[in-house]
Amino acid sequence: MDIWITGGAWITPNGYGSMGEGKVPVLGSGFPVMPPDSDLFPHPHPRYGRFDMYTKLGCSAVALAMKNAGYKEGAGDEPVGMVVSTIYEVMETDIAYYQTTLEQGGVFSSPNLFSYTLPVIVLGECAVLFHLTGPTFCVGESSAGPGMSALQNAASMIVCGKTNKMLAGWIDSPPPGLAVTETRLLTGAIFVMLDTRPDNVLSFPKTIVYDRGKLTVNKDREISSIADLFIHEE
Amino acid sequence: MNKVIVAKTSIVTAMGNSLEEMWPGLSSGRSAIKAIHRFKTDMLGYHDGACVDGLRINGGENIICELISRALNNIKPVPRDTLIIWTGIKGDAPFIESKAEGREGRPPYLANHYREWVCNYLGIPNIGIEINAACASSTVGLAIGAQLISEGSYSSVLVCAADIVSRFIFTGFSALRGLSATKCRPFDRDRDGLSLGDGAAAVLLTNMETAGRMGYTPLARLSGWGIANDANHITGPARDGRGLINSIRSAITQAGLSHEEVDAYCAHGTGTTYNDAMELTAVEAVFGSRLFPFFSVKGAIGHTLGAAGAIEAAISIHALAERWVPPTSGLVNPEERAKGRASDKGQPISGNNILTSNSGFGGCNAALIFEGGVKGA
Repeated sequence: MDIWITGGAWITPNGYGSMGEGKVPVLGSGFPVMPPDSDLFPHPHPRYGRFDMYTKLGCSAVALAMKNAGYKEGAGDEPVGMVVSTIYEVMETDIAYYQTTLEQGGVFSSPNLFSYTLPVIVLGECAVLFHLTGPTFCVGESSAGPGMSALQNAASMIVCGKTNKMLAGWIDSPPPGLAVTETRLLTGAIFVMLDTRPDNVLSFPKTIVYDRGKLTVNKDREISSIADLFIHEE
Repeated sequence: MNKVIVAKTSIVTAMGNSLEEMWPGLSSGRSAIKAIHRFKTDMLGYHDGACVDGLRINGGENIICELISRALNNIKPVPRDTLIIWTGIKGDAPFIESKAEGREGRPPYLANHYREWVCNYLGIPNIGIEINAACASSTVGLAIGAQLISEGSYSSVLVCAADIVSRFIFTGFSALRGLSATKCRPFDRDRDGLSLGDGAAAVLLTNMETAGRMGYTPLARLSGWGIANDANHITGPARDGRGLINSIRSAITQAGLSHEEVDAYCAHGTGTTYNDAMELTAVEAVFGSRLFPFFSVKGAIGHTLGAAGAIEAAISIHALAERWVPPTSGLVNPEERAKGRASDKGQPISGNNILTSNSGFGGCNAALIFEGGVKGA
């Protein structure tokens, strides 16, 4: 089965952009370059300011990807799902939350911060924002490269017939101070929209094929990262 | 598509180190929820949980490793080409707690570290993934495992999870006012919140050929699964139960059943006001007024977070074999819509299909259908 890529976007420490603009994501460590709110949402998002960095990164990249894919809210009743891959989950928020528990035996623990101590909260925020009612879950990032685990699982969901549309992407916002023990400290978010029956076909059509755990792009090319999907092929 | 067999299950909770050890307590409606001594709770207003006795840091690891090792001891060996799916959701809590408190020692165990640890413990190659869908994590893990076997990517998948009653989690649910002041009372009109519990689970799924080659007696068939999001709120369930309804219908359809053919239902049943009301709404939407055995185990063993789905799957499969579901511990006065469904008594099962479901933060919902009476592979 051919699965079409109908759009995508990224936010990394080296900039942000969308599929088909002639640029590709450049991965890196450090603080991401965030797009202005006005590029993301048609109306001010009521909770955006309360998001942790992981959720902010994820929601922002998904907003850009949805816009790039021509997704319009309420455009169809078909359930859209979402899979996110990550290594560090929300460890930075975990540490921030736990700091609030240390005084007075925990009576001042922050319920707002605790609510963001799961990597799936970004799924919930995106589901509310874009009415995603399909399968949603997070997966650990594989050693292959950012986003590969999410792409495989999203494609598998489509191939098994659970849905026709899935967002697949990668989010990581590693906390400071982990460099001693970990080497993969990339920061950013990259998302693509997968669809079996696309309304929106890119100017350079791109499809992936999923066959028993293996992914190929445009019939024969293997990829090592979700970022590779943004490379323009004539 | 390959049929998916449940070949082995192993669970550890505060009620026992195996299903066999737990079953008498579950069957009698006993609860393992009691005062917590793992950390101080005196300032919090909540003091109870279902902690496993005797958990110690073992060999420089942490107590989550100790907990999952108990479950793995009852399930090994597994085929060498088994894919490991780790579905514990807060394994970094021991690291976070020690870092925030300025203590040294604990390595930053992330989900991938636990999965690697399980592979090493079982002596198999390091192949696997980690799934997080909040309190539906191991339910989703079982669904993904079943899908990978069904599509032919793997012949054997071990879904593992362990989560503990950590200070991190306890203070969090306390801050959200989500805990019961005593013991949770699923589907009771006076329910006041959930009780947390330690739990570990390992569920081995295989295709028929592997089950036959390894000499496994099939415990059940995982015949249907569904996953859906509420698209409603990040921590609260949709009051109309839309995500749960969609996930149950997807699982029933995939299993090739009509809703009349579901013979029992192990609900999430946390004992919170909104979760239980949402589940009863979903039950009415899918099954109408039909009454059949419906139960929750969280009044007995507490809410074991990421491990809950796999633990409840194992209990459900055992209930199918026994043709009897255990009572809902903690239930005294069923709320109106739970009458004739949930009970403080055990109930007989008249057929072969049991439904289990779990729901969690992020709007996550997942449902599984197990079919008993599977002939030998």
